[in-house]
Amino acid sequence: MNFHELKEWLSQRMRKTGKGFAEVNFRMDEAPYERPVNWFKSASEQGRADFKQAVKSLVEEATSIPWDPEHFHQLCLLIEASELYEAERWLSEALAPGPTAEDARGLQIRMLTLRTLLSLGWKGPSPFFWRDQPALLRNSWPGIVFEGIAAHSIDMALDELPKLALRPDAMRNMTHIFPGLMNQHHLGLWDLRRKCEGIQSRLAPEVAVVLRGWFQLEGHT
Amino acid sequence: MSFTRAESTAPGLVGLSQVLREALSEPSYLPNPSQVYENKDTDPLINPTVTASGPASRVELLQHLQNVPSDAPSVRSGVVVFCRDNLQQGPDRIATTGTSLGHVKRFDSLVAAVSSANGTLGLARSRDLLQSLLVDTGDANRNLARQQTRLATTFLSQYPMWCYPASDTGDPHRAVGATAAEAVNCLGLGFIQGDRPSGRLVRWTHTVPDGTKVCRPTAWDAGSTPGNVYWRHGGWTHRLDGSGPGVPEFVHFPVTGQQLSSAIEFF
Repeated sequence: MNFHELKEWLSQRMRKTGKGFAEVNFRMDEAPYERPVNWFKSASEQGRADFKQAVKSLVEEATSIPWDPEHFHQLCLLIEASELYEAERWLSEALAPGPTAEDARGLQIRMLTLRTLLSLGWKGPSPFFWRDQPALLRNSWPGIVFEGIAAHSIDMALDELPKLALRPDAMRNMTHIFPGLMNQHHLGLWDLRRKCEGIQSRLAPEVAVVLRGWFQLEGHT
Repeated sequence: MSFTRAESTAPGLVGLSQVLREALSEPSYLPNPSQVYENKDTDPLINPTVTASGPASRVELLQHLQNVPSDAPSVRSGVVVFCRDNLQQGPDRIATTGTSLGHVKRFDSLVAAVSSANGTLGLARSRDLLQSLLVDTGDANRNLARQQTRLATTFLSQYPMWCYPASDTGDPHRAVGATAAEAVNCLGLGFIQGDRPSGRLVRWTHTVPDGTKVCRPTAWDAGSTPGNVYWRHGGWTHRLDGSGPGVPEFVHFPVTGQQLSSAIEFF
């Protein structure tokens, strides 16, 4: 596969169209990124360089047009599954305010960009960077802000939680990140419970119920 | 009526059945390289000619291919597009709510399904969440409650789900066997066993929401991507060891974790 064929193959799989997507096995529940990741891992040096260049080019295209968020999500999964650390630079450049940053599609692309950057180990310049994000994301996806601050300090993130978890569904989504944060910060359930005790009184009652419910279901009353 | 007969219904279709057979050929499947073609050629659920209801017909596939370049990759791709436009057209088989269906898939597929475009979980966070939820607490009810609550609004599959009846609530997966190898054999999941590393497999049972169509798969549902040579029509899975039919099979649109009736577990 030459560079142009490779880029077209990746584009078709991520954008769920054409021959590239036709080879995805629905019955196997195959994700579009799987085969390209396997290809990349066994590619020659030139093949790997072409792959990186093709992904870079697709990131630029996807964030400037921008793509349908579902298709950009697939591209983000490809980057994460390939452990393409070079993408940090391309993705962080895409965070600069652009003409579409304000519309619904642009907001979702921004969230997916931040999510993928975090998955690559990027933390943002400081915790203050993340405190600016709720306004830029129009208060959608507070979980990504929580995770971004937690990348700097879990205590700081928990302290910020009452300002982020304003509704029960937001709290519920944030608890989905708890298992990953516990792994990342080597926290046991009891440690996390103790850290959360201090913030319970600062949560709205209906939000506090969700947090308590999470611990109860984990076996901590 | 086979593709050969179907192509004789209109002048523009003549010769397309041979083009189709060659494009769908899988030389690496030694028992029958033409298996995918023959599945589509002989599935009794597929109407021979255009009808107002029921699965799309062979004539319609050939008509669709008239507008596709005749090289094999384009024809194969054209067949896939046609199949995906005609999913779940087989007869509905389960009308009652509350019926449990069993499902087996790769853990990696479940991870990808849990990571959605509108969610803040990438692959690593989805994997962390699922691994925490698949820990056996020693209490089956609690295992289920945790997953139903945490995954309540999360789809458990990226594409239509293939399932088998799981009526024995004490041991819902008994019919497909206790080990991953037995389940792969019984369910005819040759694409897992075959051309790529299988990874870990998971299983669970679920119900479907009221009004969900649960259909017998047709050859259109089976698609034509490499690896689907292991499917056979007739409404039963095809055991890989050739020892006959496995279990009845059904297909329906993805459900969320709220529909789980027994917890997701690793083999």
